[in-house]
Amino acid sequence: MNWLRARPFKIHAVAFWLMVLPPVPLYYAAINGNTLAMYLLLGIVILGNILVLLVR
Amino acid sequence: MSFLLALFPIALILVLMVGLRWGAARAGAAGYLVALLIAAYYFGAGIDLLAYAHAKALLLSLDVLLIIWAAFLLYRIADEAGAIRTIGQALPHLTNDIGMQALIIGWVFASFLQGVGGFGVPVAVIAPLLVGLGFAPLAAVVIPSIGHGWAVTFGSLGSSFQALIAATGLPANVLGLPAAVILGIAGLITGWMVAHAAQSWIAVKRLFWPVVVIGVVMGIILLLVVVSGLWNIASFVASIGGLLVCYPLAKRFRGEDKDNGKLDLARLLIALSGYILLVVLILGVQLVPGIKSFLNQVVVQVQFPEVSTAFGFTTPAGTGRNISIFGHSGMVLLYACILSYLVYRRAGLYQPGSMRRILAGTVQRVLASSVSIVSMLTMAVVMEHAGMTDALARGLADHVGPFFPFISPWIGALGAFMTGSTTNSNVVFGALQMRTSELLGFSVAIILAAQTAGASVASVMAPAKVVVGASTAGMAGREGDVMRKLIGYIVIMVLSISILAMIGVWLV
Repeated sequence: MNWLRARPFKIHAVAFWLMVLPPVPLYYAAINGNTLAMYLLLGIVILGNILVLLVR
Repeated sequence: MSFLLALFPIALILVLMVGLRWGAARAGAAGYLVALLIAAYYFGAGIDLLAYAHAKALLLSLDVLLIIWAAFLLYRIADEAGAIRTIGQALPHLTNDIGMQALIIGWVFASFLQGVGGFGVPVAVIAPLLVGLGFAPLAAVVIPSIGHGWAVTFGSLGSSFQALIAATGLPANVLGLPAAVILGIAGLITGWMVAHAAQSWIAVKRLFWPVVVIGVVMGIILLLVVVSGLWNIASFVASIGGLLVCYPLAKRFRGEDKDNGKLDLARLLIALSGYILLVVLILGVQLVPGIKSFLNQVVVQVQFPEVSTAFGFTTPAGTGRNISIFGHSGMVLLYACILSYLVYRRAGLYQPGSMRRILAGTVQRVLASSVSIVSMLTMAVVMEHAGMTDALARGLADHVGPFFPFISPWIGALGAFMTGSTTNSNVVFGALQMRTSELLGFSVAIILAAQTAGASVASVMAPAKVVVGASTAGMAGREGDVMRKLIGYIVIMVLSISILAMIGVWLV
């Protein structure tokens, strides 16, 4: 946890990509009705936001 | 119950940022996660609705972030070349009158810096400049803080206004006029406040007419530029007009004779060249139809189907935000960045390694803001699709009713204070204000103008901005003094906007 908190820039960079990359495949998963893929991709966005919560 | 649950993510962001002093990125992430849970479990948002909402939010985020990234890159290109310092140092040559210096540097030049940069830059650049001219550190922070607030909506090359367009889906020609009128009047009041902050009522009386002349000129230019569709550069062009008017006025109010050194006009012109290029490019793209249609040939357009929650709240089918790859305002700014860099480089203004410093400085400065904008925008779109914004709007309409136009700027102000940014406030509250005004039958454009104007003037008091300003004027640790001094001015300003909004909806 301390390792994460000491690297806010890197964490923000990773979190940013986790937030902006999944919505594109998420859109196609929704179009094709692939529920499992939608849950997985939404989980990645949620993970990105949880990472941001760890940065002080 | 629906109202309270819909309010919870927004209230959480407020408590985390103001109460617990969390950063906007962290608080935005918390707000997003809570909004997602409430949308799914209480408002019946299914996985497909959430998927489409995230895709739509990505388009909106790109729309706003392109401008923010390019605007700050341009500022870094000019700053690395020493252009900002050169422009700032040229201004005290005009007058030794303290009140007039406060007006020119703390009001008009601060607005210019907000027009081209923003992100706390006006106070960070001007506070040390005023301290150097002999202003008390507290006044040196307070003056530019008040001075640039009116220019925020159409400042940072229009990023806050772009956010309002993105969040509400309304075109610039609908939103622009009332916002420009309210902010133009707020700009005039700002001038008197800056004079008051510099030398109390003596300066307000002595400089009453110069403030009227500068304020009216800037207000009219702002209005004309916004109405003509060039809102990206409205604050910038208005403040350039203000600076031009300041020149003869400063001759009339010169103050005591002092040696200010020699003004290097050639150096000043080179410093300004980056921004001159920007104006030429934006004018070219907006006014020459051939260039505009050429750049707008490649457009990203995504079709979204109709989606409904389990309780029947429906979002109709439609396209998301259209993004023109080469004609987007952010891309035009990027062209200006490239040309400015080449001009400054040819003039020999860069030290070795400047490109790396410019890029690293830009990424470091905008990354956390970008994260907060993505999470807050996604939260706002999820809330809108799940019917949470609608529940909030209905609750507000029931409780506030006919006084909503009076309350509206305070909502914007609260949003800017809590998130530290007018852009974020417009993103979080834009759709809510629009829906509430629709329910109550008020002019949506005037309510949204009040939202963004309230957010603009109150954003200067956001803790993050005050900390930056105080640290540059040697006031670190005395941020509370700055806040106490600012609060009176800001309350009067937001109150004035409330009255203007009431008059506006009464007239329309």
